[in-house]
Amino acid sequence: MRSVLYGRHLTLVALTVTTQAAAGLAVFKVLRLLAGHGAGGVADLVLLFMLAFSGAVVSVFHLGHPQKMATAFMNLRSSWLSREGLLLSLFLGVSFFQMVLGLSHGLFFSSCLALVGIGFLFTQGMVYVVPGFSAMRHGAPVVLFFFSSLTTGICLSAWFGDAAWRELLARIGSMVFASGFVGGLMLPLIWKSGTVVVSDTARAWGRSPLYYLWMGLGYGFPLLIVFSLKTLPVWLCLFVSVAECTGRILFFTQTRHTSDYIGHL
Amino acid sequence: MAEQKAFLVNADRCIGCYTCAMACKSYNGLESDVAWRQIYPLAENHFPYDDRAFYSLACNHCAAPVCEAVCPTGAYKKRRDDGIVIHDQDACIGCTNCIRACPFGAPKYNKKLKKAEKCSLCHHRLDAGLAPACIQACPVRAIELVDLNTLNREMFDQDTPEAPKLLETPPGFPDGEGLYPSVRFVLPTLPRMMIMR
Repeated sequence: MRSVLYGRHLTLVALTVTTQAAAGLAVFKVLRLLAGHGAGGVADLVLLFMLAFSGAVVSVFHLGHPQKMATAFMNLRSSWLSREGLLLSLFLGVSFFQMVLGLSHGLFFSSCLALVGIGFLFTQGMVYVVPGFSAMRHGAPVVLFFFSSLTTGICLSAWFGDAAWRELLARIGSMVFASGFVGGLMLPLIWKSGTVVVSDTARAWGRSPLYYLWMGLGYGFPLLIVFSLKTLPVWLCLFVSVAECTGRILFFTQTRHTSDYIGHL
Repeated sequence: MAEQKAFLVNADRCIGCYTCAMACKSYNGLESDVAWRQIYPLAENHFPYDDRAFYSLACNHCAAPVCEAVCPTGAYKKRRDDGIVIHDQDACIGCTNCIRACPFGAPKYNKKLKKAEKCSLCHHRLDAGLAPACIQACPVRAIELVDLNTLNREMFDQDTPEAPKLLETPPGFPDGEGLYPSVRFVLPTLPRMMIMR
């Protein structure tokens, strides 16, 4: 069973968590502009760009031959990995020009960036919707990655706004954390009724302490905090980021591969 | 497509001797931790007898190969004339996307080269009029190379109770929904008299 954490997985964990946080930040910047809580200067764009850029740099090292990474865009016709690379490059390009040209106040440019970010999240999720991962075949990674983006985006967005914005974030966050918590608890239960590989993935996730850490720290604890404080404290991003990293390690190490079960399916 | 080459795996004949896997490894000069062909014992619920039954499996050269679809560099190509899926090692960047995607576990990671690799159906041998190494080495003729288009017609013609039933997705084998793996199986038969412990 492929439950060992490889160095390759760690780079993928870093890539997915950082870039999803950047996409989430872009989405919540649009919300902040729409809600009239100020543009927040270019500081959020700098953070967004740095997160996406560091993810892109780290992602290169999951390749066996990083020097050939330019060829990874050659199969846009059918490969979600090529599309992910293209949209990440586009996301980096748009955020860079927005940052350099000082376009952080514009709703149009922010919306463009958020849309590219959402498109990128979708392609990134689809990379893992493959026949080899039976449990993931029906789009679970897309949903998981969108939730990851929302939770990290909310928490990082709390850094760039006034108290009223953080209160609004707490209200949005309570819905996101609650639905993520319920969905995260339900996912293995749904998988339990699946085929051998799918139900074994559910068991592997349920047996792993990473799952409970991810659920508790990433959804349960933030939910308690926003309910009790009625605002979203800036320090919450630390807990949520750690939780998302553990959740991603769980995803990469405990999701069962169909080929491990040949003869027993 | 003129032909679709396929492995016909006769699990009724296979004795699990690993000769096919060793021949493949030896002929292709594979690394010690890489095997393009594997022997998979069937679970007891699929073959409830003390003697084990096996599937000898390599790449299935699917009609709609997922490895070709997911490869970002286009390193996989399906030959038009015989349907063999070929992996171009020079184009591979070692992203392991194909390894994740293939439900049959056909592409393997070569740690030394930092690239994926898989069964080529010994296309160099086929082009020279020779049988693939695994088929040539099998002592019980448990693997055969067939043309799937012809085989399907023959199966239709010989649909009699005596003819061996060829299965596309036997018990224990991934369903490969939408991939159409080019492999057919003859199931192992249980002995008429069984001594169960």
